[in-house]
Amino acid sequence: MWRPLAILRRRSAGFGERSTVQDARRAEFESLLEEHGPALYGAALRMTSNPQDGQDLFQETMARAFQSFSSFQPGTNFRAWTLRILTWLHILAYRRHNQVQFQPLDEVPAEDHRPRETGTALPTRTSCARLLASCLDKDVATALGALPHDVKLAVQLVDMEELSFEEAAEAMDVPVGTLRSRLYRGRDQLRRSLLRTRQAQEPAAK
Amino acid sequence: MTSPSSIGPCGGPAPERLSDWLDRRLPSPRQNAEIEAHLEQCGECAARVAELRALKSCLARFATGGNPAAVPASVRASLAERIANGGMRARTPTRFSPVWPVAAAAAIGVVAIATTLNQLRGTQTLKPGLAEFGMIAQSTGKWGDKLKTNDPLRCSVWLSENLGLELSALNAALLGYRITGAAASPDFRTGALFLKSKAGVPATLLIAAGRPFGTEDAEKVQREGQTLYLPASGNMAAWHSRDGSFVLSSVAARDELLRLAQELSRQCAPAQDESLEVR
Repeated sequence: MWRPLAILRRRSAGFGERSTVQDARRAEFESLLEEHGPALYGAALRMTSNPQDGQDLFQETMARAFQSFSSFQPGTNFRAWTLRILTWLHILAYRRHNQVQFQPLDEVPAEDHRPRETGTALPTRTSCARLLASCLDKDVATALGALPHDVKLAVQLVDMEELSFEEAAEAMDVPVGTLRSRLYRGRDQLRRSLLRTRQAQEPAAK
Repeated sequence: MTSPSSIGPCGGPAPERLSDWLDRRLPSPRQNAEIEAHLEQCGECAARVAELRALKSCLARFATGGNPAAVPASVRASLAERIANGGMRARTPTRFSPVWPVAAAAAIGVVAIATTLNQLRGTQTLKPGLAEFGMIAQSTGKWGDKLKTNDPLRCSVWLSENLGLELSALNAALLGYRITGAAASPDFRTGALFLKSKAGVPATLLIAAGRPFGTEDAEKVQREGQTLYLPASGNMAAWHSRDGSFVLSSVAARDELLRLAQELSRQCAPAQDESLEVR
């Protein structure tokens, strides 16, 4: 028979032992924090629109990660696990700050994901890859900032933080198919936006 | 066979399939080979792939290039203080302060109590779901007009903002559960999140805030034999064996719960191992 109270008593009796275990876990967490902290801090800064928000997000994420550290399986990907918490907290904060109203979350139909043509013609295809390869960081930041929030998150998690599709979808709490469609959309919008910027900077490339 | 929707401007694969190929997301070697054969002979698609590669490397460079951002000393110090404090907020609140005051109690430990279960049993006609939560909300003149979605994330965000259940929603997500609905007692002091595991097994997370959980509660629920609770690491965990479903209210308690769950499933229930799958 399962007796939870007996277990409670057992846990109380072993308090000193548990404290030692907790110290070890804390040391393990701090070691992981030392190793992955800068990368996660960078991810938090890229995810938010200003450094103060990024710092808050990083700090909150790591504190939550520490609170939940017993659920982390040693040997698995700490960065991916923490990025999931980071993404969750970011989405919560983003929606709170932007006071998003609760409406049915209808994904845009697939045909609407096609890029819409605008007035300016893109460079010829042969020069596009060269132009993209020489993009400046500030242009990338600007182009990313112009993406819809969910789309930007998909691009960031997969193409910048190098999460797998499954990990990124889980972090965003969406099906993998939704993640993929956001990723396609994001990449295509980025490609067009960056090409236009580069084209303006380097008209001869036309 | 290529479906019409997968045909791109050149008559070959659609851009999405090229992207899938680049991401190694195509489901079969045959499809990979088809794309590779097409790329050999189609300059348009080869150029598109080159663009995608350039974009991906541009983004990767943006993420990792230059000097990696060092964590400022002030952030490190503040974080160290929080870790020393068990992860709880220290003196300086951040911008992520919970909206609902009782969230402070929830942060100390999301508490599942017997009275909650009884209240929810009393409203058994309220099947799990947001619509019912909305009904309760409307009947009390609170918030009902804002509840217009069954989307789990939005649901959890809403709960977070209005009931201070952020930790519960986050924990559920961390444990690999999707939130399928919610309910609350008429006084909004207690609530429940209805969850579903990846294997489709339902679970219910009972939440009450502002009330310590004591031995008396544990004895009571043990007497009733249907709901059992276990504090762990300063948080509260709860086990609900009715209908083979179970309740988790704490990530920290997961390991203990898994062990107990396995023990219980051996003792008195059909194998529920798949419901215990936690990443």
